[in-house]
Amino acid sequence: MFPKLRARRWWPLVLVLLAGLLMPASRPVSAAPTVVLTFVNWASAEPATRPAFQQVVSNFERTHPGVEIKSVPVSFSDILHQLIVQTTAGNPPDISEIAGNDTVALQATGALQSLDGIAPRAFLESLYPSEVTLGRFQGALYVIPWDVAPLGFWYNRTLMKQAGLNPAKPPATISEWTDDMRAIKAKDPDVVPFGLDTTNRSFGLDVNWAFMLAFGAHPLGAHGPNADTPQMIAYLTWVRTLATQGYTLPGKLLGEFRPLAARNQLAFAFDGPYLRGVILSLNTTMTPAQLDATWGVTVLPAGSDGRHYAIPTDHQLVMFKAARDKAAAWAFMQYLASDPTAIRTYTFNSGVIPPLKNATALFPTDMGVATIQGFVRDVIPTVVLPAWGPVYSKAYPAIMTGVQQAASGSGSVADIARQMQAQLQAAY
Amino acid sequence: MPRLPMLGRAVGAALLLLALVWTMFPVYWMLITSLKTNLAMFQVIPQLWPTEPTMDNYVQLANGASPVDRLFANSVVTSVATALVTVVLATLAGYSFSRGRYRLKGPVMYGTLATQMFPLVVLLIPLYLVYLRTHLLDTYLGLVLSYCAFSVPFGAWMMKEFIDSVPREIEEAAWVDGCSRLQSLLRVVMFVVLPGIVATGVFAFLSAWNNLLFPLTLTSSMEMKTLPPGLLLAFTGQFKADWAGMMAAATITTAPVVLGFAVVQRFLVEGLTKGAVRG
Amino acid sequence: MTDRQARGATVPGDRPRTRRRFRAGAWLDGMVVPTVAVLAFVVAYPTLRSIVLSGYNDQLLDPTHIRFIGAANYARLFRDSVFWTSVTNTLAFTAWSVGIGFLLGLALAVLTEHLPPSLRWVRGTLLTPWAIPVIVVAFLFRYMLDQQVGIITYLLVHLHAIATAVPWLASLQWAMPAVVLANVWSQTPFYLLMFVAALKSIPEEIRDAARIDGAGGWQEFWHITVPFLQNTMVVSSLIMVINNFNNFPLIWAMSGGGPVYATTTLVIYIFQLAFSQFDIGYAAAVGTIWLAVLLLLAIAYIRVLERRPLSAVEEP
Repeated sequence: MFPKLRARRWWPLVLVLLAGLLMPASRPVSAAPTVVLTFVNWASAEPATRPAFQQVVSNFERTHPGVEIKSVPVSFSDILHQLIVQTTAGNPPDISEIAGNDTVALQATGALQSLDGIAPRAFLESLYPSEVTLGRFQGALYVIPWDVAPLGFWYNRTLMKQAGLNPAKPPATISEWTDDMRAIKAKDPDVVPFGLDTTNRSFGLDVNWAFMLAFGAHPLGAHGPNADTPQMIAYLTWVRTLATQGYTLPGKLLGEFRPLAARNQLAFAFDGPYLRGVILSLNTTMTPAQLDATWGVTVLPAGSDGRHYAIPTDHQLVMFKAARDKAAAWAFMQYLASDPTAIRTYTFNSGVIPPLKNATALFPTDMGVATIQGFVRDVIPTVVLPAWGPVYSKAYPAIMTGVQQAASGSGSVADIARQMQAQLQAAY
Repeated sequence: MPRLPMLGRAVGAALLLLALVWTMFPVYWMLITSLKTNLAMFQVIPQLWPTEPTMDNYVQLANGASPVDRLFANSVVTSVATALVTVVLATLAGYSFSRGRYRLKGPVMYGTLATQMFPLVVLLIPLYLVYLRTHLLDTYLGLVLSYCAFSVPFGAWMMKEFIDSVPREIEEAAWVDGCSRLQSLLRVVMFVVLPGIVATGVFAFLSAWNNLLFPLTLTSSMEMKTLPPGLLLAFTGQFKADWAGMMAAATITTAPVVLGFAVVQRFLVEGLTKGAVRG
Repeated sequence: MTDRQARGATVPGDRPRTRRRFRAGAWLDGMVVPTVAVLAFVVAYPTLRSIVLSGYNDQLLDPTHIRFIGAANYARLFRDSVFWTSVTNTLAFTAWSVGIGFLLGLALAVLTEHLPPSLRWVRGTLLTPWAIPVIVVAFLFRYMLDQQVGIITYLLVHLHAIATAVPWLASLQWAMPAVVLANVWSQTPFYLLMFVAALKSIPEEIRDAARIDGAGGWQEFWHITVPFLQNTMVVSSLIMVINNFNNFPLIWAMSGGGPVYATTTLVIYIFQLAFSQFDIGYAAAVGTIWLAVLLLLAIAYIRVLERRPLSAVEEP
């Protein structure tokens, strides 16, 4: 059956090549540690945060000999995908960085280790109480905050002044705000008044959730979808106005507006405290003092109910049930969240806020930055949670595609709301 | 040289010029974007030539800010290995499809084609499980195997077509001289279909080069990632997207492949088949 | 040797005079075993598992409630409007990408066939797009087509081809053409390569004979070049059809399947189902339908392949 094979001169070469492929990839050799912790995260993936993060890791390894952190970089949008695939295959990491709906969805799979009994009481009491609540599910603690980063309302004083608006008085209501956007657009057509994220991702819905609440729309009720309401129609109409009048650029991720902000071509943003760091890294000619003079942070303009809303985009840490050395894993988690060196090296460097109640006392200079104060004073008290959970994971495409449809300008807004409701039925 | 009227030649030249512009303009854009800062990229009036060209993006790459050298090495190793393995397997299989006579030939032929019909995406989770159990995750061998599974069947069918067009008489001459089938393949047929082999190899190389889904799922450590998921990981993120840096990385990693192409395509063109089929 | 023999037809009674190499009783040819082994491991086994999976309600986010539901996933599929949209998008994307790429590649192959040595580099240059990783092509075109800062948008507005800047990738009508544009740019070199290789295999004598008979350029193309290229045309378009059915990186990085599913092809839909919604039972069902569709398509293609006559050139 097999034809006669005669060794040719080049067969050995091919065999050597194939043999080379069979060698496992070489890994950097280090002195054998007692514990290796795998930590899935996007901090080491992103160019903005990688160097600082690696610094924190080496500091930890130096002060905790016998523990090695194996960082697994995964992109922010792939985290849940990566964790679920690994967990399903029986190969979960020890610890993971996580945020938003991903956290709640992951917790619902039952793969996480409950931290009651592992997290010391003193540590928990040093955190903002709202952050601790964020990490509780059915009474048990599963998640701790690495940092606090809500989305707040940024306004560009320079552009406001240029358009004849009062830079000391950012808009307090949605209708004032829409008028301000009109004025800014009229003054300079190249300026984008506002950066609204209209992407079909769970984070896209997180951003839009605050505006929906401001309009009084609550599409995900406890017992069923509730999208076909006048409030949702009002919200979709507002999105349509923004897109068709050129007050925002449709189809963009939140991060795609940041270069515009750095060029002073964005007037308003609904973004986290890290926007400051991103602008400074993009616009190397701008000094921190100039940035603080240009940009202010306050609460989101209120809708008809007069309330202001903010959405958390905190980075959180979770431990997996399958982690072998839970004490070592916890030591690293606590280090990241509360160790002063780690906070100075990484947390402030990324422009986010440490989760400690007494952060302002501990780090007066870093916490004294104007935009950070704006967040701590004004924004954090208005934080609400979106309806995160397994239903949210299934529901966001229906809602965000509705928002995209509204932004595209085609089809009646009432039809869009109706369709959204029909599609949401499938999610429940 | 076919006789073409002067007008025909002028039109042909104009069309070629158009084709060159169409082909090279985006490449040019990629190049000059890599010479801009991220801030300059977002100027409302796009700069056809950067007003302040900067080598910053390349400097960053050289400083190892992102592991592009590692990504490039991984991509090259896996793509070249895929090309070689594909060429070997596809030529053997193609020869078998063309000349072989065995009972399972029909099912095997159509079976190999059928395996291409299932979307890779759905296969990922069962495949991840298989790889986990056989310790193929995060390895070159695992990636190359998965790439080959998708370039060999096409390669085999392509080689079958090329080998079909080689007249039997050429091989029969070799058999008369006492060669076995494999020897006649290696000594005679292979050279006649060399352009087909090169085309198969190039196709396999590029499908491995561009593959995003598999390395995304089947590798976890940065040391083993290839360019497509690695570029995404290294240059786009939650905070900011470093598009200019990505263009710089792309320029550097694409240049060798383009040069490789230039060499290979000349070989293809001046191929050894000129005049192979003679009366 | 007669022309017929040159084209591969054997003369009756012609038989190799050496010992018979073809053992008709063999079940399998050794040469094909390595290929079969790789495919069985990487594709066949996961495929079978997936088909089985399609009969289950398997939500990765809810691992405690996996249960067998028979054909319920398929029933859901028929009612799923996004599924049908993704089917039409896939067909449109594939048809346009393959159609345009094929014609462009063929035209370029013919145009560059007889270049003087000083201009040979032109052909090499035309192959460049294929060397650029598809991810980069996606981001590059996304940037060039940007509503505000994209060079293509800017040029179109300033050349008065369009009135105001269009957000191509956020527009319901233009997202698909934009994605096809990038795809064609990236894939034309493949067709170019295939046709160049095939053109090289047209025997010089036949061309000389046609020229002596007074055939002009266009007639030579239609009556000689095209029939010889038929096989390559069929094979390369089949390969690219299947390739484009599976095209993930370009669409994902350029438009993410949006806006509102306008560029969501089957692959994108399955990826979202499997890895954003984690509904892998349903994703497997969609995949199985895809398998059936592509199988039918491939069978149709192969019929065309086999029905073509051994030689398309008439004897003089």
